Amino acid sequence: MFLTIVSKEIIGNLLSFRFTITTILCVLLMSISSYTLRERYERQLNEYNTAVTNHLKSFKESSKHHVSSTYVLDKQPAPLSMFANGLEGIGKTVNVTTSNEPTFSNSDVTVEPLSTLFGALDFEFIIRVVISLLALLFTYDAIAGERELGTLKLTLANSIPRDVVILGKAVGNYVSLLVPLGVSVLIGLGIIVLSPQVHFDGEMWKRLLAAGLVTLLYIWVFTAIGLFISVCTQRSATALLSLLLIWVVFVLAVPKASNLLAGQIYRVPSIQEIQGQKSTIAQRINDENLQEMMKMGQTVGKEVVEEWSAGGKESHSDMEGMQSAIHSTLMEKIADLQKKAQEKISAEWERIQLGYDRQRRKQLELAINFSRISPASSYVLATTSIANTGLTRQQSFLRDTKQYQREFTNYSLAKMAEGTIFLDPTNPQAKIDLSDMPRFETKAPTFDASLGEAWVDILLLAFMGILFFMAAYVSFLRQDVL
Amino acid sequence: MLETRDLTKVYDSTILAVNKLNLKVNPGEIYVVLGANGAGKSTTISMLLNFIDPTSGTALVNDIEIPKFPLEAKKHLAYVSENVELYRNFTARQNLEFFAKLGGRKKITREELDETLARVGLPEDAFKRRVKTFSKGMRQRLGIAIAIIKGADAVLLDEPTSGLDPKGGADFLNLLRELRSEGKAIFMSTHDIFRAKEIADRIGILVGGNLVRELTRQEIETEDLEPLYLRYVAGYESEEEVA
Ligand SMILES: Nc1ncnc2c1ncn2[C@@H]1O[C@H](COP(=O)(O)OP(=O)(O)OP(=O)(O)O)[C@@H](O)[C@H]1O
Ligand SMILES: [Mg+2]
Repeated sequence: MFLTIVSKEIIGNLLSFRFTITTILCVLLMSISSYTLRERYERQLNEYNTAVTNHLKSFKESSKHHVSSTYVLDKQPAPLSMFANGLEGIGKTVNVTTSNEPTFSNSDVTVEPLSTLFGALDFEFIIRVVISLLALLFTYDAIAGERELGTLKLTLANSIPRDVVILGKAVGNYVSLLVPLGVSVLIGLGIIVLSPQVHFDGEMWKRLLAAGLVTLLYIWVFTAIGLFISVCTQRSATALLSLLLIWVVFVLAVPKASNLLAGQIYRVPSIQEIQGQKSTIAQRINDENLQEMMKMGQTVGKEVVEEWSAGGKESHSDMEGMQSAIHSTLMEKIADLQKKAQEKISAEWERIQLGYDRQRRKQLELAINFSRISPASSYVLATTSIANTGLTRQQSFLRDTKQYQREFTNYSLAKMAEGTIFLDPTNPQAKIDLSDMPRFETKAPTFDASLGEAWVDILLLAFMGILFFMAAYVSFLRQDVL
Repeated sequence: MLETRDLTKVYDSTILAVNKLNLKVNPGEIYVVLGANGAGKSTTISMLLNFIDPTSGTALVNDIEIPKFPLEAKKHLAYVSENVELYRNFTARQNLEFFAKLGGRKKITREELDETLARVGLPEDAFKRRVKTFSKGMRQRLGIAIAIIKGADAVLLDEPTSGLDPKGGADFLNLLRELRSEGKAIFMSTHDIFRAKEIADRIGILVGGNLVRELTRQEIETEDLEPLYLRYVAGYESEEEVA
């Protein structure tokens, strides 16, 4: 009975216009996507390899007579960015200097502004935006449409449990969508894997498999939503319109609005305000310091004069000696105070910065959690985690560069101390030995770590899939068939 | 065979659609329920098929309580609705086969499908045509074929003749006679007095959800049905007068 309904749904879909459109759309989009992203990956990989060599070369060149204070690190393109681009295109190099915190620079937007403007056409985008809509198009009339055709009554006039009907419809339409999608994904994968520059190891395949399972879950969520609305509406046109609204809210509105909402609820001062705070504090500390210095100047003057008069020396030459004594003591103490003030300022600034960073992190977390109302956000978060192109990769890469910056700074200071800075400029053979320079290393998280990160969103997707299907199921079971 | 006991439906706790309906349809009998629009005919059939639950009372088929054991009961019930569109992308055969399977028929041969389609008067070239190319009457015939192939003991028909041409209507009545001779209990709703008179073994007149009069075959033949029906429908308030 169940299989009768499933196969009827599938055959019905195969004969339908929407199936033709879906197949064309899937194959077209996936082929274009995999072809262009493969090209891009190959180019970026080449660019990366040249950039690494060039940056090392130019570092060595500018380090002839003294260790250069800057070194440029490159972010290696993630192979799975071909499937889920994520934040891959943002900040492809990091400038490491001995004086400043490392910062990202050189984003894709400078090279290919259009793909940033329109967003990458990767698998993740196609599935999140296009396939989710198609899932709704496959299910909006599953029940409402049969109501209109009169076939719902005809079906239920038989000795067939309603749960079999609804489950059969869900599975039938789900499979009908997965078939053209699966075929086109295989085509896309083929295009990518056939590239001589792409070498997927076992770990990559595991990641792809996991992303595939998350995709199945995501499509199921939309299938269940479509079914639920179809159960609740009398006309399929009403169902379709309601579903379009839901789709816009879930796929377009919520992910974009969550940032704004989090910003409203949890306000974080702007970077200008933070800079203002910093300079106010610096001002205050400097003012206090000035006062202290003046006070100190008076006391030092008095002390020295008293000391001198106690010694009973009053001659002219002694006057000069006294002045220079005051001067040197004063200078010493001023330097001391200044150093203390500077330390105080640094400490205060660090406190403000840390607080600011913490607030920003909290706001980000809040925004992410808001966005998770939408399965589309969960899908992005989960797949970019699995593909290792998400927020965490960006953060961990930056963390690794900070670690490297410390090593690099220590290294160049040590080299200076060794006196390499005073190499004989007249000797053309003289060169700094850079062979012991620290190497930059960044480790991609393991598969398990990525999965651990994606876990929340995977569970959320599973939860939504079950929730919406149960909603459809229960309302269909209890509903009057009119 | 088919029986209702004080069957009552109140929609939205205000609209009394069917009021304490008591009737019985025996095997080999055609029971026609006559009623104006909104009299409660479809509501009654919907309760007999468990599409909706009765507010009170119950209905039975082969002594099985329909609201309590709907799945078991529906094995014995076939249904023809008015204006069924069917699956538009499927052929007549495909539609028939699908519903035959749902009706619990395990193995259906192509011959049996074609036989049934021919029996309801569909031309042979229509068997493999998609239903979306069918006229309303052709779809109606296919709907009847779907009910026949299930082979159920009781057949419920809700205004089945509404889309049929005169020839179709006549063919249809012959089909009903065949089914009757096979011993099926047939329950049909209509507002077509003339067809009712032609075919019915018994007629029930439903006015505002109340079964106001039941006529036996003898009474159908002797009484002047049309004025009687119109009087009932028009004068439901002054029921005593009519009676
Ligand atoms: N879903 C519903 N909700 C509320 N009231 C309803 C519903 N369905 C039917 N009714 C009301 O119940 C009464 C009986 O309706 P029903 O459809 O059974 O009439 P009918 O005899 O089949 O009429 P028709 O000849 O027009 O098909 C009508 O007053 C109608 O307005
Ligand atoms: Mg009706």
